[in-house]
Amino acid sequence: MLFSDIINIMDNDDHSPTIKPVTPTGAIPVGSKDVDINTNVVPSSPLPEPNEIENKLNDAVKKDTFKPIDNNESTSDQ
Amino acid sequence: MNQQAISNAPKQNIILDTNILFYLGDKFIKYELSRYLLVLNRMGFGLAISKVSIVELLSGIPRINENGAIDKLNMFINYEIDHNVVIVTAQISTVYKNDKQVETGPIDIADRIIASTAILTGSLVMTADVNHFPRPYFVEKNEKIFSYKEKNNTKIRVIQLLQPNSSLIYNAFSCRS
Repeated sequence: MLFSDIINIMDNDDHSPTIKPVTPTGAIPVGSKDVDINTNVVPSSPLPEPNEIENKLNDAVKKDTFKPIDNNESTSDQ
Repeated sequence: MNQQAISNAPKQNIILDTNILFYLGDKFIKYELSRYLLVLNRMGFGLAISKVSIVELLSGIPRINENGAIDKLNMFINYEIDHNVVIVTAQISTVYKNDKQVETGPIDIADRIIASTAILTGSLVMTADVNHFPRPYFVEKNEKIFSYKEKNNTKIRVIQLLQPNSSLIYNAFSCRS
C-alpha cells in the first residue's frame, strides 16, 4: 500500500482531525514592547514542498532515523 | 524560497515537541503517527520544529543515524532561537514559577523554548506529554489516541495538539510581578 493510499483512507475516516488552520493574530509583550504574533520569528529554512515532506517522512520512518539510542528492542523493528 | 512555496505557505504551523520526533522511531506507532502528520499537512498546517529539538534529537540517536537525521529535519520548518524567543522563554518561566496552579514539576528549558516559539508564532504544539505545556496557558485542540498490542497487553499513546491561550498569556506577561 502506498502512502498516498493510506492518506486517502484517513481523509474518509470519521476520526480525521476536525481542527482547521487559522491565521494567527494579536500581539505578545516582549520585554518593553508588544510584537505581532506570526511575524516576529522567521523560519531559518525555506518552506518545504509537500512532496518533499512526504518523501522524507516516509524514508525517515522506514529507516528509523529518529530512533533514540536508548530505545530498546521492544520499540524497534530493526 | 520560491514563489510557489510562498503562495502555498500554510496559515498556521504545528511545532512538534521532541518526543514526537522520537515517536517517529517507535515501531508501534511510527506509521500511524507519520500518516497523521501528513494528513494535518494536507489540511494546510505547516510542520515545524524549534532548533532546540535538533539538540535534543541528535543527543539521543546513534551516530550512524546522525547525518540522515540532519538531512531529514529539513523537511520541517526550522525556527531559530532568536532574541524574542529568549526573552519570552524567560517570561513564561517566570509566569509558570509564580502560578501556584501549575503543579507539573519542573518543565525543562527545551519545552519552555518550544512554548515561547509557539506563543510568538501563533503555532500549535504537538506533544505526547501535556505536562510540558501546562493549562491554562495551553489548551487542547485535538487528541489522537494510538493503541497497540505488546505481549498480549493493550497499550495506548496519546498525542495532543495544544494551542497557546494568547489572551491569558498576554495578561500574565503584562501583569507579572
